[in-house]
Amino acid sequence: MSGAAEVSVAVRQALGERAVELREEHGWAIATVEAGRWFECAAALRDALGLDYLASLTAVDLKDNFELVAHLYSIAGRGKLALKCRLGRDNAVVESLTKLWSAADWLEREAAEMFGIHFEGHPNLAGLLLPDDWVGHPLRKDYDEADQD
Amino acid sequence: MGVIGLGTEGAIVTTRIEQLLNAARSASLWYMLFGLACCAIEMMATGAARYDFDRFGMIFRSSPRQCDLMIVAGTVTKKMAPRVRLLWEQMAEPRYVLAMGGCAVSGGPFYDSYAVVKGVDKIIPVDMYVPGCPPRPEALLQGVLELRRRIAAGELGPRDIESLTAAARAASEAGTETES
Amino acid sequence: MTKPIRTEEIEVSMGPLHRGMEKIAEKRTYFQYMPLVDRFDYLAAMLNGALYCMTIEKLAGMEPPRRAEYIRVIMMELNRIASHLVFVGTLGLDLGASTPFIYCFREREEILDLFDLVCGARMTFNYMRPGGVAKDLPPEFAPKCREFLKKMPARLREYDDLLSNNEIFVERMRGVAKIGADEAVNLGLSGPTLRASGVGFDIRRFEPYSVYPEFDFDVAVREEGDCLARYLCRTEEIRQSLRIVQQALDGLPEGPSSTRINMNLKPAAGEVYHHIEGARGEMGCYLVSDGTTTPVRLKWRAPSFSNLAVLTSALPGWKVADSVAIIGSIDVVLGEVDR
Repeated sequence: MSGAAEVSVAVRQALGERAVELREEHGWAIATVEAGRWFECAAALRDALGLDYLASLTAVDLKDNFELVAHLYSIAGRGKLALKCRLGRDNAVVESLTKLWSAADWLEREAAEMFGIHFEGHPNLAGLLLPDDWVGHPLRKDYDEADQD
Repeated sequence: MGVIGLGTEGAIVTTRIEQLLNAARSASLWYMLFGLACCAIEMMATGAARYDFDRFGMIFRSSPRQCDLMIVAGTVTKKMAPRVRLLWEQMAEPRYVLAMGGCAVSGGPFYDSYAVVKGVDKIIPVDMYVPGCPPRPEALLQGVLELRRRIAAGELGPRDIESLTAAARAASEAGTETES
Repeated sequence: MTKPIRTEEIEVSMGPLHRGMEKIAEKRTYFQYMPLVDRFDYLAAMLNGALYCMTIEKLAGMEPPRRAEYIRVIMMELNRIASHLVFVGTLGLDLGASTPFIYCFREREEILDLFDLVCGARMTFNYMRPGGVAKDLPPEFAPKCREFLKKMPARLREYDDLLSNNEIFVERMRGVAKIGADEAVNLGLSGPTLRASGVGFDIRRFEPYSVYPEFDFDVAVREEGDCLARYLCRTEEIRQSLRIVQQALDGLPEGPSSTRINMNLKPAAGEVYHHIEGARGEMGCYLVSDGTTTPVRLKWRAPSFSNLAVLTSALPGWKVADSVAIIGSIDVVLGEVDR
């Protein structure tokens, strides 16, 4: 499989200035893009690098904001990439990737339920793992677990 | 229990009807085919060839209506709790509940999880607790044997035969009146 | 004659086993969380443990000794066999054949005896450690394991007689719920479920980890994409895993089986996504550390979770009675679907 350095070059070529940050860590190329260009960049990278497999999509609560991260690779072995964007806590809205990878469907539903991120254009953003009447988003750092007992 | 005569034609045993019923109940505990998590796999292993539940007259049934025993094998989450309760309500008396594994006993390793009920006894009454994570099949078997002993000894209620027979008599009298 | 009832549309409802394991990780130290990892995919707990430890090792920049790597491979492959045996047994049970279940559990007990010998547990082992394994193999292990390996091919032929060559079983599986290769990749399927659709994607080859490059084995791939192919992929994987265990036993190096590490492990700040070939597919662990004793975020990439998503497109159009075969052939473990 292509190494992180080669992938970084390809990402730079495909995204140009749209890649706000680009680094390599533990064998992964990690690219950060603006939240507003999330879908657009993902589509460009999918075509440029042949990233046909979405392995994981999740968020990390960094206290000031959320970081959305998707782990992508090409089954043919052309490389792997972690694509990221930052989302504001109060206004966590981003375009859904379901049109690019069907695998994003449930992963986005889970991220929506656990963090309260809204994915625009998702076909059905209903809850997935928690009971229907659940209040709050458990994986947020400010979630108060005492609420539930 | 008393034995009158031990001749060649067999013995006559005198006993109270509740003792006879309890002995019968303890010898054929049909359990519900119902697992929740890791413990369910150990319950399956207990039902398979090496440990063999069948030798205790224990057969799994897929309908709660036919079951005497509910083995709560696994973590009861808040989403699952109403369904566990419903299954238990669908069982006919006399019914027994065995909490298998740390999660069903007290929440186990998930004692501080937001999604887990801290012990199945918060939602249904439990007759026997088998700790372990998951308990080995031997432990489950010991729990079942102890449950059988307690059933046979009449230690588990509500098995007040007199009021049950009175209720049955009243129901049948009411039934014969309406039917005839 | 009445027409068979067919599935038109399905909606998957999940969550009854959601135990909040990812949140708990943020409250425990790396070592305290280790026992919980086994309860994630409880049919293949050795694989979970190994993945978790490898991820921490990557972050902390550790390298386990070679003997530990070999022991890990033996344990992982034995556990893969045990997990596939449960699959074969319960698939038979789902389709109305109860004998294979008894047979498969008989062999599974023998593997569990081996695990019991090594770490004292049958299912939830807590055996892997960052930097190695908890305890070296006892001297009785190798002869018992060899005995098992010798016995197994004949047992596999028994399963073939019971299922693979059983006309009723084959007829219920062949041609049912075909999944195309492109659809499978797009849905994020992995493991035997994906390889049965003609995509030879196996992490052990795709991005080799541990000492897998040193072993000779084939990746089981089939082109048909139906239920039968998914079943045959798994039975073939059992044979391949037996080969790997044999080679690992033969080549087991001497030396230490663990490295001394601080129980209050503080991996350097950073993040890593590591993945291995689990029993059901690509098992991934995304770990974000800020340099303290607890992770900022730990996310499990559960193969069953992604594999289950295929049901929404695989079930419609088939008879309701076929759904047991279809769901059974995907081999889900709900512990890792709901986490």
